[in-house]
Amino acid sequence: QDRTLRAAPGTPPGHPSNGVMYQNFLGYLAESSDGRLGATILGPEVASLGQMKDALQSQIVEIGNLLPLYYPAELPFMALAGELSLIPGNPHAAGAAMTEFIVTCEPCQDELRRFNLVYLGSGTSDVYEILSTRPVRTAEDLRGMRLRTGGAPWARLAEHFGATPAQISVNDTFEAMSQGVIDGSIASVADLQSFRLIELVTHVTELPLGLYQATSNFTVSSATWGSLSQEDKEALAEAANLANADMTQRWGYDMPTEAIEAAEGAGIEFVEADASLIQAVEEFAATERETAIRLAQENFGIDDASDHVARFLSLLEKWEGIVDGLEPAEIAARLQDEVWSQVDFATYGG
Amino acid sequence: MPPAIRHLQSGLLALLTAIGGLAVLALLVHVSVDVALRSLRGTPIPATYEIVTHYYMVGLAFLPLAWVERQGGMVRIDVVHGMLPPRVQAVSDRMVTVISAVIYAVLAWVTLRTALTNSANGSFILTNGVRVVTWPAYWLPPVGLALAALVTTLRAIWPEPAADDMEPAA
Amino acid sequence: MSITTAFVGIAVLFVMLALRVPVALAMIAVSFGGVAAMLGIEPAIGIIANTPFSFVANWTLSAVPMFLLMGFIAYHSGMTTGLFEAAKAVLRRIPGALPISAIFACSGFASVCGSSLATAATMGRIAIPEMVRAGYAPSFAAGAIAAGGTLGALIPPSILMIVYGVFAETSVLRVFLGGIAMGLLTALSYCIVVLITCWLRPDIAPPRPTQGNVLPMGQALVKVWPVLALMAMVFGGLFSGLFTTTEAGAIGAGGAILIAALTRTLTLTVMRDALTETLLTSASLFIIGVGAAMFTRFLGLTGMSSYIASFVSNADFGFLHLMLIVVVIYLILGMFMEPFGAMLITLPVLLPVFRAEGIDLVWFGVLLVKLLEIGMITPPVGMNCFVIRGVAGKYVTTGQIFRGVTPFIAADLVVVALVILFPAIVMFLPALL
Ligand code: NA
Ligand code: NA
Repeated sequence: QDRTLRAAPGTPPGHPSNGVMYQNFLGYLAESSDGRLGATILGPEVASLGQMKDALQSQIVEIGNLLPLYYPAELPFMALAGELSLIPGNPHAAGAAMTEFIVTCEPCQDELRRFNLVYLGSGTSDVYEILSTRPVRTAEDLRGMRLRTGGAPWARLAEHFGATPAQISVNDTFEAMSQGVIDGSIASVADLQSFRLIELVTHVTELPLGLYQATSNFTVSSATWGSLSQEDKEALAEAANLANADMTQRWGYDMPTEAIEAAEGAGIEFVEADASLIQAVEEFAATERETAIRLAQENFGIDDASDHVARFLSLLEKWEGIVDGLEPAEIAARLQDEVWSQVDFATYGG
Repeated sequence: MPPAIRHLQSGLLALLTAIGGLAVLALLVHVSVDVALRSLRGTPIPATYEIVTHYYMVGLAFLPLAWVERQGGMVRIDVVHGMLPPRVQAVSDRMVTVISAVIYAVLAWVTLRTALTNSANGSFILTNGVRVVTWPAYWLPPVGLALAALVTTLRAIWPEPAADDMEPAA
Repeated sequence: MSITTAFVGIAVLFVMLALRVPVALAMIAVSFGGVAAMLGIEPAIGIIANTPFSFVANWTLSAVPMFLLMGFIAYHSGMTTGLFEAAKAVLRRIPGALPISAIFACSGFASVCGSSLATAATMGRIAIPEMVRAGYAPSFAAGAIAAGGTLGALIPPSILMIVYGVFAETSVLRVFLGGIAMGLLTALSYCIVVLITCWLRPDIAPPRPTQGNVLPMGQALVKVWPVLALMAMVFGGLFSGLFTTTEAGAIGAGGAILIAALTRTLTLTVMRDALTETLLTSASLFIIGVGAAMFTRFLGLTGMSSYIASFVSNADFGFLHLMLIVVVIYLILGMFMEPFGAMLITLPVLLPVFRAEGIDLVWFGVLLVKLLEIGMITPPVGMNCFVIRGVAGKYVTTGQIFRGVTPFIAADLVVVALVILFPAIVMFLPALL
């Protein structure tokens, strides 16, 4: 190896973004760079998710898992994409659309450049559901519930249905639920296992509640990026692209399947929401497009927000048509074709 | 230490303590009211988490540092030091005071850089749709650390024992 | 090699600590220098620029000033006397009634106070003069209270446990629940020490029951209500889902102020003293935390943590062997260091080892706090003994206190052995959650 990068998934070894995403990335990187590039993986004691921006900017970490929604002031376009989380889509399509959107949008690249970061694609969660300690069948059941929400779109949804959104860190969800401070969480069903909620949750209600898509799994510090040859940059992007698809497969599909099996074993009831509730959620999600545009104008001063939203939605539709029935490696190959092979690595991220 | 400087120093430290005490009380009242409103009416105070962590906690941790230094409240290990002859102790104490002043000053400078960047960006966070401005909070560490550097520098110039031997509780 | 950097860093740290550089500043300086030597100046600046804010801006940690304030208000407004009176009224007929009552009162006060020193100081003021008057050897009386004070950090709320929870990223509530069993077991072991002493050494512990100046039972119990009300408020709310462990601190501090006002013991002086002590303790603690967080990041970058973790797993010590090493390390550190420093300097190295070995971090947290609290009463640096000397200096010398506390340290070691051999003793309550 000519160069060993300091890489940080920001999460402990058991978590999908460390286990699958970064371990696979190591393998892909060795292959795509013909063994020139390697990485040592640093744990959250060196760089947690909350510290990732600073760790990257000061080069403690050279490639890391950054959550852009922590920095809406600095990354408004990422925040805009995050506000669209409730728009229905499947995980692989959302990950691909997000990647193409950010890579090919000039102001998005500008904000990353100003922040001294280079973006190499996104991965996404599964479609969120309601994990709760009492059944939710109708809109009436939601009224008065206290729900943990992982971001503004879900808080809006909760409030729309008369529930109280609670901003609690995902790590504190178990404790808050065990004490009855919250009645449930709008989250990935995989949280049942990742955060031991399986011991507390009694009901899971399947509803189309959107997914977590504003991620940047392999964010490279600009200084590191600038020190790499064009060949190495391409190798890095190729490895990240493959690992992103694996990550979405793991977080968006495999882990939920395992969690559902475990939940059934633990006697958790899977509640079928009433048709009127599903319809009400869909109607609310449909208003989110206008909300996101309004917020992007108000909060971030993006005046042409409606154009960007329209573009994101058309990309989402495009990828919905492509990913159906494809394996993660095939999806990565399509993204490589459609997006990354079009990128000029002499100028990208520079 | 010249009386004028001593006077100024104790006034400044009293002010810092008062602000720190207010941060403690504000934390108490804010969290209690949040719990009460949530339990009674189901309407918690928005952004309690962010305001508590970014403002009250950072304020009460960094603003009183200079005063803690002055009170001799920083935790140290006395074992070896106590065995040294008094004259060596005095030299080593002065050296440690200088080292402390340098460390505080470096910390103040680097946290100031962070504060300047965040101010330039106008950093804020969105919590369930509520916008919480965070950049002013980043000024609390550099202010507290710079004052601690100042107090230790004064002590390096005019050595004197700590204000009184308050016991840090564990 | 980076591992070399780590060892050099640790050596420099020890030199700085010996020179009496504040623990926090020594850790900060070593982390900065170490990272600069390995990766260059920009990453080193990154470490020290961002850790202060990101460590302190922590929700769980916000319970620390609140539980401290609650304890200091309870302390300065004199909520403790009633506990001691009530315990004496109930226990008057048994041998060693006075010290046993004092240990019960320490346990009661511990349930509203998060700090070991405050518990020792409060009870020392009240109970030692009375025990000496009743014919107990001053060294034994002082030893009982110095040891009893450690219950303050074992029985929840506990500042040490909160800080541990933050660093180990484990549930503070579960560590608290484990602390209940650990605290009660400790109190029981101290009572047994008192009984045995009464039996073997009537010269230092008169075995006759207490006479005179004991309030009638009913009247004594009435005096306990402030502490009981505060306890009911905090734990009742905690377990009925009204608020979280973190929020319980604010509710408890508010409750303590309210109760002190109702009992007409809340004065401006009480408020001012409680607030300044809270501030002094929190700020000096948080800056050590900042230093420890930087030191953790430095050791993580050197690969030291994973090096030691793999060393331990290759050495294949076995659980008991490993725990023996850990106990000895903390007993030695505890002789010289105050608990937060000892905990925060060692966790960066030990936590990865325990994670790799699959040791329950809740259980370890409870054990760790017990080990650190033993350090509060061992010579030469035993903070609880010093504070007793401060409040009861006209009865005992520091040397006599250290002598008096010896049988209680022996009891502590038995408790530690029991908890290592039978982890279920402390884990059955957290396991219910
Ligand atoms: Na306690
Ligand atoms: Na000791």
